[in-house]
Amino acid sequence: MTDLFEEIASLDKLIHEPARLAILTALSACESADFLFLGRLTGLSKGNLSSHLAKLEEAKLVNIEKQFIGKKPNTLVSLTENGRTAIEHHWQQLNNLRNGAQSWQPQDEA
Amino acid sequence: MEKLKQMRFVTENFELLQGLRMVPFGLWFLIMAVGDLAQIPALRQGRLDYPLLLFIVVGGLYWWIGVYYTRTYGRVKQRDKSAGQKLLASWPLLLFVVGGAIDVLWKLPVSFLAIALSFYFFVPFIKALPLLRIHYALIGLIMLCLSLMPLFVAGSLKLAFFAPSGAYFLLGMGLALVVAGILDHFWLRSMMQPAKRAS
Repeated sequence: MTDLFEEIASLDKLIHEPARLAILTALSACESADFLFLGRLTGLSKGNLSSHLAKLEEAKLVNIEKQFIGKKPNTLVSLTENGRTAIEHHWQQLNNLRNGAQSWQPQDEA
Repeated sequence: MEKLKQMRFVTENFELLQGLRMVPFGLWFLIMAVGDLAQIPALRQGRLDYPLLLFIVVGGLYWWIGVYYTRTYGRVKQRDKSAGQKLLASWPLLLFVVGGAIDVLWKLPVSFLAIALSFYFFVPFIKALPLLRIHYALIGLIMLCLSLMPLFVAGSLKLAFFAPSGAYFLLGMGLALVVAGILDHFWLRSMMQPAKRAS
């Protein structure tokens, strides 16, 4: 196996799942976002978004804070320090992979 | 990858993309332009009472449209900026003050305020690249033409940008804010998915 394939294998599956990658990428661009915004941005249903956020919270990648604004409940989501480092590292890996894939040449194995 | 970059862009610029908030300001400029062109006494340049009253209504609309965006698309809190970054972010104000001061003091046949405005509108276009938000480039270009207009059309800066013919400037600003605001709104709408229920 080449380094390229090793790098693909080393991608964190928890982060690389498309919906979770979208959530973490959006959160990495702000301090915090609420549940409604993440739902509208990613197109996930409330149930799916809740389930992905629960997994990310369990892995200590996001903080979930429930609050009331006026009389309405509001769920605020933000990245933890771990989460911010993890998503930055993940994007770095993806960029390395893309650059590696562009310069990759098949070699004779014999 | 492209979709994720767009999501990042929307999150980072969520407040700026709430384009309908700009529309009341654009309409205010247009009303002032019409008032100037039609020589309506209550709306002519130099008057403070009615324009100020209208501006307060515009401020109310800005707030109310903001509530609509929060209810429809949710809330995003931007990352805290350092004092240096905040100072850097206030560059348009500095540019407008310097441009306006040059215009007023020297009355050159080129408007530096309009050049500052054209630069202000080019920035969102450049910042969004590789996403092509062409309307901002077009508005920047229109502002640039407006800045040179006294040179070719009006003959003097005083005629083009101040009473009694300041309508050109007001018209340009008004149209720019209304068109950019509506386009931004539809762009944001196209990026956000309809609300879904649990499946």
